[in-house]
Amino acid sequence: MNINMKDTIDRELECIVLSEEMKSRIRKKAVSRRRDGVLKWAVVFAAAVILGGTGAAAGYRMLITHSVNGEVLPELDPMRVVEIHIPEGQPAAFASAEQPAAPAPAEQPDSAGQGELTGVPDEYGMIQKDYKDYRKIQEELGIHLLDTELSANNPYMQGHIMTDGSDFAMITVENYILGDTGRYQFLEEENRYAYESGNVFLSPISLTVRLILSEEQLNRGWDWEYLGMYRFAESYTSGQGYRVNLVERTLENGDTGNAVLEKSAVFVADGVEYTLRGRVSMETMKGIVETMK
Amino acid sequence: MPADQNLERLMNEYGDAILRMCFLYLKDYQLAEDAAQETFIKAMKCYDAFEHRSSEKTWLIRIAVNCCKNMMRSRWFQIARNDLRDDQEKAHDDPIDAFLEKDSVSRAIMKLNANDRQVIMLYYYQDLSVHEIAAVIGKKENAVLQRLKRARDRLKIILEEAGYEY
Repeated sequence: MNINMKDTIDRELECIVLSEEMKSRIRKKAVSRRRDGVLKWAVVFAAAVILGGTGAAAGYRMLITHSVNGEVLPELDPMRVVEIHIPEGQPAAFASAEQPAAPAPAEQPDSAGQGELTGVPDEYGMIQKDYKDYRKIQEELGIHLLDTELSANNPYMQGHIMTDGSDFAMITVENYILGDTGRYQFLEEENRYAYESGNVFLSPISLTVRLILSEEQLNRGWDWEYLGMYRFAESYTSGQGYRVNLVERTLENGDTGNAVLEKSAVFVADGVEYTLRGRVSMETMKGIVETMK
Repeated sequence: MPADQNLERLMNEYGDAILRMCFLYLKDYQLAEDAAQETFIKAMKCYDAFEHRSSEKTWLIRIAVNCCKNMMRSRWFQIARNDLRDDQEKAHDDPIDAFLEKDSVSRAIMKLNANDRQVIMLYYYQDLSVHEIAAVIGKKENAVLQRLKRARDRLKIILEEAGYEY
């Protein structure tokens, strides 16, 4: 090749540098994480990565703190330490090494992308694995989690587990509830499904489940902050008795206009934190929460 | 060396190149900033566990590539991209224009699919060997070679169309 690619790219992108401001943010977050010795959650919404400081005092059991643009939301029910099964074995082809591209369901055998988690973390300490079935994740971890009939017979789920094997585990399931969305097509390059919005569900609903695995993490707790175009909508107690916080995305002016924008419903049940997220009305989201059993 | 000093050294030595690689990979400056930031935070969290089985640079690049992949696979990436597309349509403008000339090599790389972009960036921009790329992306060396050849052929066509002598 006649072009010196590296020099050319560096010249073309010379205005893109790791600025002092960015370095300062990284220093603050990286150093505080190391001092805590336990992972605090990084929440990425839109373009924000936030690591909160809990200021945990010895002897106090911290609850989760959620806030939206600095406004601290009402407390949820307390979390507890749960045990999950992380079998020993050979390292698998974890997502952190390279995502196997999941073909469309019609082309995908039932076992594709599934298998046992092993207890061997990658070089940066995380054990990760892709699944296409929420129930399979529960089987493998040996735990029972809340689920809904609305997610039954769904071939488009994209599940993922990430755990450090000692302090926390996070399960995410994209396309958990499809509602009236349709025409799912797998985009191989992006390893996700494209879909058409329905009348009620402008997007499918995703599920995130967070588990605390150690007393140390439990004592430390964690903070979440939604930054930017989000607002706290409502806090209520569901029919099952869960305290639920609802957060919604807004337009740039801080309002939602007439648009059905993304909602997040966060609650803790049996010591485990659940977040349901998707573009549905507030009533629909509340209805979904009621079905989580 | 204390952790704080390691962080400074990593950011100074590799910061710009990691951020630029994330930008080429994600094709979005804000997301690239997030990915670069998360890369260094993860690196510091796990630095003590880094076993030096690979070079420090390869290890850091692997973390960055995984951060980018995790961003690309998450739904908010899709939402952010859709929002971006909407904004572009409104403004009849391409945000990448703010950084790049129309016929730049960087823009040519961005026209490749994600797998091709990845291998081209790792080989030509990060100067990794085929062996190192195999370790970063978790593929065998033969597979990397094949992927590199394919990506190079595709890039050649795009660059020639843009008037470069390849």
